[in-house]
Amino acid sequence: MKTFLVMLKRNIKMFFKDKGLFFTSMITPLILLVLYATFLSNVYKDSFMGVLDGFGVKVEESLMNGLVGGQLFSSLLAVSCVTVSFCSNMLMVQDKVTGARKDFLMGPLKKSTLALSYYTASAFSTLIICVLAMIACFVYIGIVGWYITVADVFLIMLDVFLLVMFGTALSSVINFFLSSQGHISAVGSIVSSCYGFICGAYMPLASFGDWLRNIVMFLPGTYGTSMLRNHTLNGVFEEMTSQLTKTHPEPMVDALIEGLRDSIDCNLYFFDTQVEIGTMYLIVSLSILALVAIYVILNVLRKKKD
Amino acid sequence: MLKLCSVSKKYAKSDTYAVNDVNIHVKGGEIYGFIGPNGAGKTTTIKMIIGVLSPTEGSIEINGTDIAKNGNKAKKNIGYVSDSHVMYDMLTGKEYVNFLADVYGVSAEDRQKRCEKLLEMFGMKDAFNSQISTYSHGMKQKINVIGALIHEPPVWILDEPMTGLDPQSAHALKTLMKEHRDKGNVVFFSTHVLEVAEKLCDRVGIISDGKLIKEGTLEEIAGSEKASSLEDLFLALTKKEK
Repeated sequence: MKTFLVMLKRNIKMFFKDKGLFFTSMITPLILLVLYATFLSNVYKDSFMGVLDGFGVKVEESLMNGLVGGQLFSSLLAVSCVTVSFCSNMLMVQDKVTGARKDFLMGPLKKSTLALSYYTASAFSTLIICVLAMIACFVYIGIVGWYITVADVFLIMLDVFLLVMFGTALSSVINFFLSSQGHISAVGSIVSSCYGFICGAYMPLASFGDWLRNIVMFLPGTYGTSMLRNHTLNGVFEEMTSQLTKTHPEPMVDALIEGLRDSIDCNLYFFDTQVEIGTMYLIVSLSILALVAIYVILNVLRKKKD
Repeated sequence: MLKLCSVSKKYAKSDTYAVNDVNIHVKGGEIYGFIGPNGAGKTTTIKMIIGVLSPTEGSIEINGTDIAKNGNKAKKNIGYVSDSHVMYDMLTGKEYVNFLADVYGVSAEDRQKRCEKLLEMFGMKDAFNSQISTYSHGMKQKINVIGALIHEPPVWILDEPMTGLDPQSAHALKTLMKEHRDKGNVVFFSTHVLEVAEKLCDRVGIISDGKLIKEGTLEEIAGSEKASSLEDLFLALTKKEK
């Protein structure tokens, strides 16, 4: 246990001291922020206004800002939880490349302890960054338009935790096979640039073609984005419903809200079947368990091979 | 105590043995020099002693513990200084030594006492709080030695330890090796510098083509050969073996 804690401390320290790794892990969230700041925010605002105008309704400015901000919030966290964990877990590969892993195994350290220390350190480092990002997002939402309920705040925390676990487990399995600086660069670049697209963070899956949308629905990360989106935007939709039903017929308001929820992936469809939020949790949780099991098996097999 | 019993190593894609039936027994209070030409099997033997490689046949005991059966317990008794530094450039010398002290469970009091003495001997006090990335090769070697000795291991293994050290530091290292021996510990080191082995070792083992071809005190080895120095002996023995 003591050795595990020493290795855990070392791994977390090395990640935060390695400016290259740390900066790489922040690339995707930064891209997202730049995209929102430059044009995505306006694109979404115009698009939502277009839908609302189509129904002949108007909503308060703060409600619109809450809607766009909630989408940014969910996208940012959905991407960060996975891409940051990939980068923090690169330490495992770097230690292989530099020979530090062999060095550790010369000391009184079990291979299983080392593997567990990489996993835990990666999860911990990612949680630190994502919790800070989450706090920053809460502050931002508080400024532009806060409609999130207390229950949703706790559910957002749960979503972040689950996505960090998912990202750590996925990166542990993939990084297990990497053994050179070239591998680190290639995987780092691919994940940083592609994950935001395939999980629906940059653009909603609803805007993808049918075939592409059906393919990405097989990826568990997609459900994580939708979970976060539901919990950041539930309050906005409830407030919108409450305001609009005072002046408009309820069926029309329901149709409008459902249309908005469909357009930004709060409602996800696996082929033609809508996926319930409980099912999304089940998919993400089972994926984490399956990936952790694969990581354990890979380590056991390597131990036998050595 | 360090004991190698009929240790052999054959790599997976090779037909020949890299190390073949080597028997070495180093008692506490001895400096043992392990010498041999390039590719003789020195590094493979050392890697098996420190537990990085598993022997194909035979067993290795560190202070009475079989490294194959109880690796962690055996490794706690080893301090290792390698010829190639896998250091953590982003850490300071102090952070690196503290990390090793934590891994080996050295108390704060002991590590401070040992650090002070070793830093003084190697003239590293001023550089201890600097990042390892700013160190020269020799300074890295010194911090490597300090890290290896921080838990006062009963068995100290050194692979080509004099490489890159200035004369003062080489002298300090030799003094440390003698001190460690005088405390009843084992010092096992490989070297190409035969003069160092000649002056420092209580016993030497000469390995060639994976086989331990001669072992004993310099007098014992010289007794069977007409040679005036370890260098002459080494050349004569390895030539004969070829």
